[in-house]
Amino acid sequence: MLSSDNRISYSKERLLWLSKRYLEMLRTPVSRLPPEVLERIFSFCTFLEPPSMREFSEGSYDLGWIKISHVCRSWRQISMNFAALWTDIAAPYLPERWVFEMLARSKNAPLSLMLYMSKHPPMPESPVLRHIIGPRIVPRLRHLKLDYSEAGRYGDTTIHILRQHVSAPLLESLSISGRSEYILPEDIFSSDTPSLRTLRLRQCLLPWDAPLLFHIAHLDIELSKNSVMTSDLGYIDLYQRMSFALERMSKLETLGLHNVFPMGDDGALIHLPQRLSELTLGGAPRPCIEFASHLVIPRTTHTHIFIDGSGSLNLTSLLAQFGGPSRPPRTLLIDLSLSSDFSLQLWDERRDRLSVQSHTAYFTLDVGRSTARRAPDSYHFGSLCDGLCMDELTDVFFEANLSRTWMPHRWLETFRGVGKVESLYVRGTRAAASVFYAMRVHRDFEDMSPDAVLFPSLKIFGLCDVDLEFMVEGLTGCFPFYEVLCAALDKRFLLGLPIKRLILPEEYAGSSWMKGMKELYELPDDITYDPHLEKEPRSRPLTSL
Amino acid sequence: MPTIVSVDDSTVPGEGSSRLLLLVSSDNKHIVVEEDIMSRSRFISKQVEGFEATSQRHAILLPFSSFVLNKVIEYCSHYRGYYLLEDDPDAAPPGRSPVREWDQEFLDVDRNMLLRIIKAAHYLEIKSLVGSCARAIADMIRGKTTEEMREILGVENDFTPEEEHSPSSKCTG
Repeated sequence: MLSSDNRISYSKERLLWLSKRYLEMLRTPVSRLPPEVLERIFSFCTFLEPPSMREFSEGSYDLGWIKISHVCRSWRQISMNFAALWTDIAAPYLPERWVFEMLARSKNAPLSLMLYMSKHPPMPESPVLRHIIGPRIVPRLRHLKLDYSEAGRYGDTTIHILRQHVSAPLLESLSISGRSEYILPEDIFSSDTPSLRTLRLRQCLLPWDAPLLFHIAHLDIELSKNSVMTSDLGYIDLYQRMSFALERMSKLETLGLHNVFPMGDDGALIHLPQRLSELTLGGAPRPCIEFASHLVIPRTTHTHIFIDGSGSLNLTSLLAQFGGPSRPPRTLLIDLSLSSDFSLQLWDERRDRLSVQSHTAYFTLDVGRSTARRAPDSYHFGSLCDGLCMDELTDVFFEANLSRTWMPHRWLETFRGVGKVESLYVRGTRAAASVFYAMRVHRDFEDMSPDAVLFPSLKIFGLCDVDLEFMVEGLTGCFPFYEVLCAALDKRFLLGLPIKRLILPEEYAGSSWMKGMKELYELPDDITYDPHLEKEPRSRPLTSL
Repeated sequence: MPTIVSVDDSTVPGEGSSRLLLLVSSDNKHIVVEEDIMSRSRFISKQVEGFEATSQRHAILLPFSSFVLNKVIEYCSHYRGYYLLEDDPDAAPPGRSPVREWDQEFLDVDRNMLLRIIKAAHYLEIKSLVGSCARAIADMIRGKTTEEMREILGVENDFTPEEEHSPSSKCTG
């Protein structure tokens, strides 16, 4: 046991030593970073600044992150010896000699590879390609993205080479963009891909009885709009095969099918795996809805349906799929924004109300100007909401970008009295204006928590006991601005809250009515007029909500 | 690993359900912090395990200043009780850490401070903080020329002219 004096003496020496070391470190801070810390920094650089074929001057390409190996000796040594840095190879964007160099520097580390095959030079004669799809590289692949959509028959030949006795034991994700609904061989990678969990196919298909499908957790298939899934593609009993496969993919967690809807079903239901957490269906109205009506979707699955195309659409049958207590979805999103034109019958008023026992509902309607002009009011969501019983609804996301048509207030009334609605998100100039107008008319909305109301294009935020921040943007001349502002201010009065900060578009600065408003509502003197406030609502993807 | 000295019981105030640690910085500042806050640090956790084995109470000497140490403690306090994947010893090795908004603000400091924090985080084995700092440094040098990188981070060019222009060392041709 050390005496107290010795302990103190030891501590002092130790502190002195540490202080010296610390001062040394300060002199050249970066060069004293431990190699593993530098490796961590470099690994971020690889995706922040990938190298590319962009040519600065003759024969000089954009090195991207590789520049770090030119900074100093220690950085060069560390980067050269850190194999994981060199494993993310986007072959289409690199000169061939770089691809070979990176493959060499990556040593035996697992690879993420992106390949794009063009007609020139003719594939698969390319030395890079022959090397990459050969027996030395394929077993190292962890992620492979292969695009041969423009390679013609050479691409097909390459795919067939991948069949030949080459297994991919490390392969976790595979993405193939093919051409003209080409059917891939079912024994690609000799059907030996034990780690494969994610499969994305674009313009190509894999037979539904291919062995590698059965361990997939994430499957996404997209065919072109005009493709028709019939026996012309080489399938017999396509619906039955697809049904058989989907029911046996017990590990499936996400499924996306875009224009992949077999025709001529036999009416049998397809029971989707219980683990499925997200289902996305996209395509033309009729086949999409017909296919959806044959699915038995687990209760916990978030379902997104994107209707893309023109034609007559009757949502009744689609909604009926989700009706009743036995098949309530967790989330139902119906997105009509891709529709170029439509004749929409949202609800048949003669039917009984449909019970959608969902906690979250998304309604998206993004109508182009030309279409909207022709669309009568009755097509809008008031009628849809009339058809829904939303007793369990707690969150509503309503996105409507209606630039020409009038937004009826009916849909808002639907939410009034729905006790559990806690948040209401509204996007769109018209929608926002309409909501405020409705609030002024229907004071019942005061029951709704003000914190829960968010208008991205007409913003109230920070609504708490003392602060009210109110921002107006994106209003067009169609709806009088002052009416909207008055409505908002009325609401503020009702709530008894002072306005702390007010931000308005610059164009409203100095107007006479603004002066009157200031006196009437005791607005703060330091109103901010922001020249950068956009007149049109800022586009925000629904997913960001 | 000469970072531990025994201390008198009186040096560490309090003892109860929330245990306290005494951290001593290189500028000899004594900082008392709850063990729970610093549990994100693998280094500290290992030290504490060592204390339990010897049933002695210790102060932990650390080779960085109180200013840096306080920043690290601020980080650990903010994420107290939070699960961060990068700090899970059972999780896979950290890849590209997500960009957390609070971290960006927290790391909005000058270059030297950032480098000191990353070194301290590395020493203390706080992987999430190392990741956030690494991301911030990578952002600083993004899109810069080699010369600019040297200038920004204070790195000396120690290549000989021959080495600098050696094509064998570059991915160029």
